[in-house]
Amino acid sequence: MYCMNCGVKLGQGEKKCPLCGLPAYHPSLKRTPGATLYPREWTAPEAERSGLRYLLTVFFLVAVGACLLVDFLLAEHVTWSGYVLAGLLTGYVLLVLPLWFRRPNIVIFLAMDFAAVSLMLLYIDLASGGHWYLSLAFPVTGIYGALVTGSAAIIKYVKRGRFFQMGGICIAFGCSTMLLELFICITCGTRMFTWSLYPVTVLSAIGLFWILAGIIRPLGNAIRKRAFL
Amino acid sequence: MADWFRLDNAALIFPAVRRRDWTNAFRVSATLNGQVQPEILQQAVDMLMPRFPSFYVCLRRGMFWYYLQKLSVPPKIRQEGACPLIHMTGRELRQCCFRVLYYENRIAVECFHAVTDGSGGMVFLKTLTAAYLSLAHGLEIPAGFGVLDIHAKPTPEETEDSFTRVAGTVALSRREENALRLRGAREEDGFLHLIIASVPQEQLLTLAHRYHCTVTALLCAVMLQSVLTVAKTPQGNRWAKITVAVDLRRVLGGASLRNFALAVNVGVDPRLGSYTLEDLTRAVQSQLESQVTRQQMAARVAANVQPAQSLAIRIMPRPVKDAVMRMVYNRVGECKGSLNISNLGKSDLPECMRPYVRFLDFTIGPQATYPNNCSVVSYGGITRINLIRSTLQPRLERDFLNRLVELGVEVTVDSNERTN
Repeated sequence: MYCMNCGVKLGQGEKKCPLCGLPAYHPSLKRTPGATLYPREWTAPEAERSGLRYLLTVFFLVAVGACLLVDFLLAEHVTWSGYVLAGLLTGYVLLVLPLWFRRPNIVIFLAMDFAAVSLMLLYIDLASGGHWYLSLAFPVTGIYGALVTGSAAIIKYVKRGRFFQMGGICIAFGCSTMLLELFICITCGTRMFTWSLYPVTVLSAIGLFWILAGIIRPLGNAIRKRAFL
Repeated sequence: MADWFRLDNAALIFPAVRRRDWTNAFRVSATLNGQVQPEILQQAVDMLMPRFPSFYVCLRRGMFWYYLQKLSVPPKIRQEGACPLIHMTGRELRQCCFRVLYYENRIAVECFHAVTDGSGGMVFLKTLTAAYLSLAHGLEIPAGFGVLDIHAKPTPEETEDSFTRVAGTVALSRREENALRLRGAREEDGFLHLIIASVPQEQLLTLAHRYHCTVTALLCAVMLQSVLTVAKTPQGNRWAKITVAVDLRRVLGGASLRNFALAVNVGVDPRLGSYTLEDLTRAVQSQLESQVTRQQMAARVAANVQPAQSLAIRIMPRPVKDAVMRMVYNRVGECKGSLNISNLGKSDLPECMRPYVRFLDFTIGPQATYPNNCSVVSYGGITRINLIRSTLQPRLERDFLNRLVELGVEVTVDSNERTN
C-alpha cells in the first residue's frame, strides 16, 4: 500500500506513514498486518549518573571536618564552626541531596529545603540567644515554605487553568507580605502597614490581570501567542 | 598476544567525547528468512570469541589513555527493544563494547565506535551470521565476501592500527566553514526514530548514471537539497554540508578489523543562491573526487596521527586529554557537517548463505548535538537507506524520501514508530 501524501510504499508492519502520519487505509484493499520492524512497546532506560554527587559530598565533608578541627584547635569547643556547619548542611540539602535521586520530586525537595533553612535558623537563634525564631523565623519560613511548595505542586500536578493558577499564586504571594510585616512588627515592635500594602497592591493587580486573561479568551490567546515558552 | 589493545587513532576521540546521554555507536543487522533461535545465536557468539580478539573487549581507563581490555567470557545476547542504539552507558562499556541483539528474524550487532567502524562491524556480523547458519542449518560456509574463516587464527593485520602505517608526512589543515545546523524538538526520553527506506539498487544506479555521479554523491546531493529546504537559512556563514565516511581500506589498502575510515565534508554555500540537483551532484562529485585520493587521505590521517604521537599530548593525564579532545571535537568535529552519510556500498555473501539472508542493514547513531544521520548498504539488489533521528518530527526524512520518489525511485518505508 502506498501513502497518498508521500508516494512511498508502506512496509507490512506500518499502520500509518512514518513520514506524514497518514493512516494506511484503502477502502477496496484489505490489509493483513505483517511483522513490525521493531517491538512497539518502549521503556526508556535509566539515565547515566554523574560522579558529581560524590565529588560534592566529599567537598562538603572535608569542609565540615576542616572547620570543626580548626575551631577545636583554636577555641577547644564549637563556636563559629557551628554556624558554618549549619550553613553547609543546609547547602548540602539544597544543592547535593537531589543529585542522589534519579527523579527527585521538586515538591518534596522544596518542602525539605524550607525545613532545612528553618532548622538552620533555629540553631542560630539558640546559639546566639536571639529569641526571634518563634515570633519571626519559624512563621515566615513556614508561610513561604507552604506557599512555594503549594505553588510548585499546583504547577506540577494541575495541567489546566494556567492563567488562574498564576493569578492565584501572585495574589497569595502579595498577601503573604502582609503576614511578613505582621511578624516583623511583633518581633521588632515597628508600625504595621508601612510597606506591605505596596507589594500587596502590585501583586494583586498582576494576579487579577492573569485571572482576567483566563476569563477573557481573546486576551489569553494573545498572551499565549506572544509569550509562549 | 597481550590481553589488551591500545585504541586505534580514530578511536581515541570516542571515549573522550562521550556524554551522559550519548555515545558514538553504530549498528549492523541481518534479517534472515526464519526466526532466530537465541540458544544457537549465543553459541555462535561464543564461537567467534577467539577469532575476533579486538571485538570481545571492554573499555578501561589508563592513567594517560583509555585502552581495550580483552573479555574473559563472551557477552550474553539480548532481545531487542523498540529503540535501536540505546545509549551505551559507561558501566556497559566497562563490561563489553558491543551488544548482540535478536528480534523475530533479525540478528543485530550494536557496537561502540572505538572498537571498529562500519566495514569492520559488517565483517563481524557476516561471520556471526555464517556461524549461526552453519550451527542452525548445518551449512558448510566458505570464507569470502566478508565472511572470515572462524577456525583460522586472527592475523596481525586484522588487529593493527592502520592509521599509523598510512599517515603521510604532511598534515592537512582541518580549517573549514561550519555547517548548517538542523534543529527540532528532541525526544525527552532519548528515543531514536529509525526509518528504513528500501530502494531497488538498479534504479539508484541508473539515476546516478543519469547525473554522471556515484550513488553516494547522488544521495548526498539529494540530502543537501533537503537540508537546504529544512534548515533555517541563512545561519551566518554556515554551509550546507554532508559528512561522508570514506573506507580507507578501499583507498589505501589494508585488512584491519578496527577503525580505518575517515570523514570528508562536501557541501555548498547557501548564500550564493539556489541549487538544482544537477548543480549539487556536480559539486558533490567533484569535491569527493578531489578529496578522496591516496595523497589527500594520507595527509588527513597525518593531521590526526601527528598530535597523538607528540610527547606533550602523550604525557598529559587522561582527564586533561579528555577535556582537550572534547574541545577539539566541538570545534572541528560534528559542527563541520549537517549530518553524516555513510555508505558501505554493495555488500554480498557466500552463495550458500544468500537464500537465508533477506536484508543487511547499517545504522549509525545520531551525533551528540546534530539530530539526523543516514547510513546506506546494498545487498541482494536492494539498497537500504537507514535514516535515524533524535527529534520528534521527520522533516528531513520526509523531504529526502519525497525527492527520491519524485525522481522516479520506488521507495518502501519501514519504521520503529512506538505505540507508547
